[in-house]
Amino acid sequence: MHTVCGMTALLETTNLTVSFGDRAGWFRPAREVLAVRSASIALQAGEVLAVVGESGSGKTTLARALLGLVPIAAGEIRYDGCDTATMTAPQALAMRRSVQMVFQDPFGSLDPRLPVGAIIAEPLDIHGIGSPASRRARVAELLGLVGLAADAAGRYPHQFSGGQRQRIAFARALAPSPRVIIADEPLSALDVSIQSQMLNMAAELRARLGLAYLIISHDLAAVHHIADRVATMYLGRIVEVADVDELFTRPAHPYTAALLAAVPRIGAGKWMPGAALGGDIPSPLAPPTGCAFHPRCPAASSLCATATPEMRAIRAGHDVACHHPLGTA
Amino acid sequence: MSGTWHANSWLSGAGRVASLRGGRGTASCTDDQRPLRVATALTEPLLLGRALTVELGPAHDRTSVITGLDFSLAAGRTLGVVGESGCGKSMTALAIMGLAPSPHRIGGVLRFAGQDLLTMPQDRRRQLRGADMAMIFQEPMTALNPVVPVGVQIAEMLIVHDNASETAAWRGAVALLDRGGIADPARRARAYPDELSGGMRQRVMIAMAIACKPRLLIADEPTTALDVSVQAQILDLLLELQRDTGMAMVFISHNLGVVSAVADDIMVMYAGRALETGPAQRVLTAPAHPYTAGLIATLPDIGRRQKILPVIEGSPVNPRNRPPGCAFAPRCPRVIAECRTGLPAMVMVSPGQEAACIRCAA
Repeated sequence: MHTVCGMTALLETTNLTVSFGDRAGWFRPAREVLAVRSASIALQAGEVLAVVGESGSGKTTLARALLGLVPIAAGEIRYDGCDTATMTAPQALAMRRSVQMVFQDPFGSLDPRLPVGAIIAEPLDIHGIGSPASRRARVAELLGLVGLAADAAGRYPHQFSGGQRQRIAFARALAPSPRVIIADEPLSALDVSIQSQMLNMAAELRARLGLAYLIISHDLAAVHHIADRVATMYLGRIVEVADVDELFTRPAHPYTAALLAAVPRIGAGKWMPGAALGGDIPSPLAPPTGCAFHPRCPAASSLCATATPEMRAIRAGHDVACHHPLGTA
Repeated sequence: MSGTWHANSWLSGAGRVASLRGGRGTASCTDDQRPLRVATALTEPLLLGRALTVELGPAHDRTSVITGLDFSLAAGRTLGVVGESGCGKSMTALAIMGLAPSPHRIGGVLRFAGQDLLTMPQDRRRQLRGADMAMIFQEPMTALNPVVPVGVQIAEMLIVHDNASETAAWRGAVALLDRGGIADPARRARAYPDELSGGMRQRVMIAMAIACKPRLLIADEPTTALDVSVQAQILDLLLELQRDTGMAMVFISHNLGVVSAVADDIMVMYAGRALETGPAQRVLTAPAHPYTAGLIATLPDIGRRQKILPVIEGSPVNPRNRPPGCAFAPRCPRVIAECRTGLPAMVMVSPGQEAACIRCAA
């Protein structure tokens, strides 16, 4: 099934750029928004990579581009070493089987008029995997994998709680035996006590099936728990990538540091006003010159306003796009 | 808001505030003229709930959504209400505000500034609401009127409650936006909600809520829809406002970290009941009820990495089909047979800290 084009990362982007635009109106020039700007990331087989950042940072668009749900303006995406732009049809089909998605809202992502068994079997139908009888057996097996009873197959999504629905969404994603699961905010719609159940399930499935995850999340504590590596995005650019412990203990980009400092922690006592990062993420229609973060950055210099910092390694496995990375002075 | 109001404000341009017509309460909210403020007994807390019960639905089909809630809140302090979806925390807020969906029946005691809220005539309740007690909601986009400039929406508060003139109200709205930490408030006041970011919309909501210097601010998941960085800004703003005005806050959130950051006292709710109450740092660092302890243990924490997170099995129970006995019993790791039959009473476990658990009493 897998045509080997070269031994590289499982899923990789190089200088990926995604732009959204509209045509000029009568009184308005055409506008272009670069939602993702020259993003290069690599997801290794079996790895958990988390992408964090504020809303509007482009993390969801990055995930959608990886799935082929939005056209890319420049750069390339490689799956198993093959460029998706020049893939043959069988290669593209294999990729679509192998890269599956779990969405944020388990109330919106499951068809309310299909029984759960049909929802989970749909990817098998689409990809023509197995006979009808073997599909039924596979559905029962998948329900077991995500911790639901086999009789769930005959029931409808509305009969399940949010956490159970997210399990169903997971079972559907697992149906065609993928190698990568891309999950966009998979926890944020769930109750606190359900989130930990999901985190444990995701970790167990990964160990059992050798899955790689690309997780989009703004919940830094959950990211710290589950991820191997973390990428921080700001206004369409990836500004820092590092191993999870390195990033959380020694963030080099002031933006990552500010995000970490903003997480209120239990038992840390009352909030001290004044520590918050000021301002909002700027409009991608009119991004600041130089480093996009410089208007909010406590460490900004005149250089930051003019020159866009390139990604560079400050330590092994720790890349940052900053003129004045923290902890290196 | 009336249709007249929309049309007028639309036509009059964003720089002016349209006049309001007819039928509005005109309670002033300047301090010396506030008639309802006098009655406060010295010994009574600002907000007091005793055995508060909320039932929803028509008489033949009532569902009890809140049962036997006790709480009190003094001026300048913050009560954090935590719990999962369906536990009744938002309904508690709505009951305090007098906004519980009809038909409903509210029982027990609910007092604010020495007055009985439950027997108060509706028009007096309306005078209190917005002026003495205000509320901010989770999703500012749906709580704001999308077709009215935000400055007009804030100015409306000052016109309705403060009898302010249009120009004075507009000036007041701009000043409030400035107080809410919005840069260039005179320009932003003319903006419509969709032109503002989520954080700025929440600042507008807060500006509107504090317009009449309320003595009680109820914040229902005010930062849940926001990014952590913006959440930090909003927490900054709320605490700063509280320090300056001495208002009391009821802060509702499912996020224990956020509650830990703002609350003096905490009430943990489950299926319409309080399971544990007490000083915030005490409850969060030495929880007594197995539910509170479970909730805290299940949270992944930066700096304390575990391979497998402890979990609370099962899902939160809906108050509509609450089991007999302790509602948490089906999920409780410490459950014994008695839990499933008798309803546990609140017992003191440490000074100021109480838990409704027979295992804590033993």
